[in-house]
Amino acid sequence: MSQHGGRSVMTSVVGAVFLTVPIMAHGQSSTATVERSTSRTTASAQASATKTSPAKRAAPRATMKTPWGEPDLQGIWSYATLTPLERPKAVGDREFFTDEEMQKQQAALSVDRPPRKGDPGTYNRFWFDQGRAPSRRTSQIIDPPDGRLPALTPRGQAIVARRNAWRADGYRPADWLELQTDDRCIMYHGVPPQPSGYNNTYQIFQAPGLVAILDENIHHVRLIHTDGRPHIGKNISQWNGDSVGRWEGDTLVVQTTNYHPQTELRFPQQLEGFENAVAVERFRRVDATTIDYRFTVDAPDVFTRPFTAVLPLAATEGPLFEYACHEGNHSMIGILRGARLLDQEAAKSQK
Amino acid sequence: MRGRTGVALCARVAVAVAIATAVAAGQGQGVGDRIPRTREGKPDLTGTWQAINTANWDIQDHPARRGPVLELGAAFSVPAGAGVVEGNDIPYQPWALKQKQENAKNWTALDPEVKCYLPGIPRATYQPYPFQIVQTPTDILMAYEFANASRVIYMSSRAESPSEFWMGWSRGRWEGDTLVVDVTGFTDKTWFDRAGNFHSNELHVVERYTPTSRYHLSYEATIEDPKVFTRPWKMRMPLYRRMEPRVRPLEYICVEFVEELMYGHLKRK
Repeated sequence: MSQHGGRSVMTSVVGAVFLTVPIMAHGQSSTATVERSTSRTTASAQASATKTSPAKRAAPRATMKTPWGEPDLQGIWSYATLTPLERPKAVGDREFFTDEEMQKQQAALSVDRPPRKGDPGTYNRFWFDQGRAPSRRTSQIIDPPDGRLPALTPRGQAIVARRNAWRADGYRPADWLELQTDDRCIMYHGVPPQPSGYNNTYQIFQAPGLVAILDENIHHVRLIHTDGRPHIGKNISQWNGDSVGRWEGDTLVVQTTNYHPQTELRFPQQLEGFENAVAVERFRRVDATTIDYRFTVDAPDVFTRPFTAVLPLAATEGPLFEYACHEGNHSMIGILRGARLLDQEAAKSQK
Repeated sequence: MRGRTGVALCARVAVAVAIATAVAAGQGQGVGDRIPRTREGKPDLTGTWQAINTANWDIQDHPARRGPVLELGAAFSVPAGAGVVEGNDIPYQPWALKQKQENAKNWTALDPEVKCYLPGIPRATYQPYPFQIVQTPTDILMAYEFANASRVIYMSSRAESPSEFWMGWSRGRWEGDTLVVDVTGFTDKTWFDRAGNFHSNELHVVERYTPTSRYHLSYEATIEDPKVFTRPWKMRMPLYRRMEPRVRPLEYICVEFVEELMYGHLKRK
């Protein structure tokens, strides 16, 4: 459950005290989300999804150019992957896994482990979107060459230390501002994205001079203009930044700036400190079912140097479903109520 | 010298008049007003659009009145407005009319807009924020500024809605120059306006987007809901193309503005 970082701690602590707390902070996602995960996981469900969905229509087209001559990135794409952001230390400096390691990784996908004692657990493997196109890479990060995130700046260290200290203190948020942006249904996968257990899906639309990316995760839309317009004014910050694009040959190059001071990107845990960051993403359609997607993040407040990662997009079936997150965020009530109960117990035990 | 200049000037004027006449005859409104079209010959609706009316306050005729926050006085009171409902009356069933009146009385407590919930259709169209249409032959994206809402209109699928959605399940088709969108699969949790006008999960909306110039769409929504209304009814309004050179819907992820309201009672004191 690496995607969910500190969340298992939270569920075990809060869940034990307050039984109605949802299993995961992401329990808020709608039933439609659940149906979607199912359709991606079993062959029979896939067949029925195909029958009722516009998937075939929206699947990436074989033609690689739009009628007006731009490279055609349109269709439905998954950014789920088994490739970790950072190279596991055990792999040493190897850039690719061996066949044997790949087989082990695949086999592990079908094994459910019971939760630890006292932990109410989470979804089992069946529900998770683990990625369709196994890459042999040992890390998404290709630069620095060791496949690891660059060293943190002093401010980056302070951000990580503050978060770790708060988690060690029992994950008892005083209010919603101490929770993460995804707990609040503000943003999650981010720009550039890192996948999580589900809804790792884009639909890309194009019109002359405009590329739109609908991210299924918290229904975020990126409108990327390629008409040469500049970024929005520097005093306008946005949770998912402001993106402008240009075509370099067959590659869509997108620059994103104007991040919100509290924007959290998942490199590797949800960190803030990206308000001065610049991300450059490159999308290149390599065949009917693959977009070579890579990005460089320069976040001088957090990391001592830029890093570059590769995260191929694989064609998948649609449709995308509505990820109504805030609308069903019972978790927020459960988490805060649980935290207040823990406060009361702590106060009692001090007497 | 003088004679030659005069002839040249006359010739230029004649050419200019000829061009103006040709434009007027050919287009009726002039070149700038021609409806943009896609390569397939359909109207091209791609762009940033916005309604300019008071329908989000109340889709029916309404007088000006004081707003709900005393301190905000004239700055956030309710402007008068001519309604957008055809014939002005909404054919509520008797129980539903009472419910509408209750909703209106308890507006701020009950209106899903106050909580930053996805606004549903047709309300998203006439909230006071821009929205972006990105048109392709197979799927049309509508991305709204409010709550970062969006929906995809499937032009090539007749599949029924597989679930209930805040923004509904949209299937589109072209009837001449009109984009007709059939929307079903709604929840019963969205409203039409701040005046308590509401619907059930049997809401069925048929929207018609017809370009009347490069800068205008005629928007019509037929509302049908057998649980709430006695017959179908219509609302109608123009939508305007936003003309600022770099216009785009910005982020309005309003969750952060409602957390104190929704969760304030659970903060550590």
